[in-house]
Amino acid sequence: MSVAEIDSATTAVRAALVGIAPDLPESVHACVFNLVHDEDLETDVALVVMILAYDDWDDATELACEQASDLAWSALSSLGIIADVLCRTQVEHDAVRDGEHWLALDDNC
Amino acid sequence: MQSATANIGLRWMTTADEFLKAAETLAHGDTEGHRRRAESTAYYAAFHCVIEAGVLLIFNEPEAQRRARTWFEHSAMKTVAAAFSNAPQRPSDGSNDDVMARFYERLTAWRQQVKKYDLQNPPSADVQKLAGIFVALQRRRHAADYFAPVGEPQSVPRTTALQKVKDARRFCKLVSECESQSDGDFVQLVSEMMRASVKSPRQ
Repeated sequence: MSVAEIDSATTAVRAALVGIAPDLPESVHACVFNLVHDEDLETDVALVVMILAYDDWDDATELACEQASDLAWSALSSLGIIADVLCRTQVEHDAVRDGEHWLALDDNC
Repeated sequence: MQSATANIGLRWMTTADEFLKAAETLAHGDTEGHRRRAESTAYYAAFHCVIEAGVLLIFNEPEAQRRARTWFEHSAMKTVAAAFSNAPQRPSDGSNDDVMARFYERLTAWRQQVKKYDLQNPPSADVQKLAGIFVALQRRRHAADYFAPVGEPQSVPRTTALQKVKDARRFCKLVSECESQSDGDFVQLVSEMMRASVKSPRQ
């Protein structure tokens, strides 16, 4: 992909993820993403970190993560991009984020 | 909460059941090693689900089923799953001209992408969904077992490990529903996975 294509796709992914934010469960926050090109698949894949607020991993937490994944999948699927959603807690994300490369979706990330 | 010993209760999923239980136990483990093995094992549960269900729908003879189970190749399966997953879904009735024009544009591009497969129309939403889950699970499995590709995380927090086990369980339920309904799109997905596997060099 050319730089222009990457920029265009990144902008579209960001807009799609910002667009689903109001529909996410209350306990979920779409935080950061990264767009990669999967050479095997010849397809773009968006990795999206969803931050979950929870005390115990229970049915409600599972459902919140699943709903957030589905929303991201639907929004990105319409762009021809495969979603790879990663649910984390804020503590988990803060512990590893320095060693990772992400694009923030808002000022809180 | 699904307990670690909960059985998804599917007659043909003994191995998948066992792998799901193991993955859940590993996801609760204290070390990064446990959690990476959880992600990997979750994928293998999904791998067994799709094969077990698929060969039962495609072959009648037990010997043919036994042989077919050994034919599947991970990379080929992922490529086919991605093609199915990437299909555009028809917009709802009454969508405006711009939306329909974008849909037809994507449909044309998708048909070009999948022309090597025996696939004319986008698969059902359920089959598209399970294909997408399969791709994501296999990508995470590869990162967990080897090295994460550039731009992708290597670390597997507990929440992510638990999520992937849940995704694998959900995948197996979708597969089970497709199998019980003899879903034509699902049969086509597995058939194409098998065909692509036989064509590709085993890794």
